[in-house]
Amino acid sequence: MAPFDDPEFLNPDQRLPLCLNPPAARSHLPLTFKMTALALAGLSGTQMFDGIKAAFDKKELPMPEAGSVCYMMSKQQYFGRKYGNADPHLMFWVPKTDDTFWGAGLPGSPVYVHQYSPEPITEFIISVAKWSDGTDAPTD
Amino acid sequence: MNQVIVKAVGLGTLAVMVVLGAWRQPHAADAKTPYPSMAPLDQYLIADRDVEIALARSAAPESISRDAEVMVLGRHGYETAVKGKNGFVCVVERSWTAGIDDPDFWNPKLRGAICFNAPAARSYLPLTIKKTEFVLAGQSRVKMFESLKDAFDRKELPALEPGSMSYMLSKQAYLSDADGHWHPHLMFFVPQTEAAAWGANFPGSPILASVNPEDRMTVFLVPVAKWSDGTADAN
Repeated sequence: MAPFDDPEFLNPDQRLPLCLNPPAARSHLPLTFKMTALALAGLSGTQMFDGIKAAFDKKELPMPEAGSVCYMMSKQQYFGRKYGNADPHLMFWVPKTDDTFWGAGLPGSPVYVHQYSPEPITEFIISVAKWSDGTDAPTD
Repeated sequence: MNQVIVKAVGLGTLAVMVVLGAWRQPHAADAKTPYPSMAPLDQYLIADRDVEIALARSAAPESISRDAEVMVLGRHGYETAVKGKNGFVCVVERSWTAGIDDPDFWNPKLRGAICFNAPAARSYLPLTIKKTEFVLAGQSRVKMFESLKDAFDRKELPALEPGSMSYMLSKQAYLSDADGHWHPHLMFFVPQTEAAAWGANFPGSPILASVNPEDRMTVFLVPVAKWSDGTADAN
């Protein structure tokens, strides 16, 4: 589920445990399943991009429900060589909007943002203090 | 600020956090609080308008608050002091935005610096303005909440918009006698739902919640690492 243009997109070592709340399970998990189906069908990254875009265009995939939240607090998560296990964080999915909707990505803001493409989804990310096992997260 | 002022042992443990309002019995605090009724209005006002503007802006990083609208509290309610251009609105809330049973409800020292994003400015801030209007009209705490119920019933207050959130990162804020400025945090406003809808208030969860029937909403709160001035939260 890395972005299509991410060099780690097909990194077989990537492991990203998520816990999704009910609205996110209903509205975001179908995207994960669709991406997985396309990957397991042997499609290339470009073909997957086109398949996901078509699925949203045909409304075969739902838009994020209000209040879609997900936890990523596993110390064992692995994003790839660049980010390792990154940090514990929460993610919020909303229908595509500007970064500034939540003041994200601005100097000093604790909110980070990832604009999906081709999915019409914006992901806001907030780092938290501890991993799910209760140990402290890195401070920087 | 509302009902999410919390008692915290500290983010060092994230172990003991209790959201006020979730456990207090209505009106039970009246007999114990040092603030049983409204103090003279002057004690709630900030004499220097520029000081109030700066305090309001300190709720969010300068990159957000410099282009925000700023409202200040006058004798007749909140008024726009600085026009904005990014959709955010920064204000300093006073004690009466706390929950009906909060012992600090009439604490004149409270200063809840907060910057709302555009959806919250449109759909949450009217609640603060309405409460302030009732209080400045001389209403008691109980009467204010009765008036608020009537306002909701008459649909004089807007429904919360999706994505309504706010910044409370001011080190200069004062949120309660018990906790001072507490911790820098973000707040998310949603129509009333259970805390569990976001996994809030569970042991180890980084999300706190306050279910506020009087305000017909649930407020989710996520502490963050730094104050708006870039310094780290000491706890």
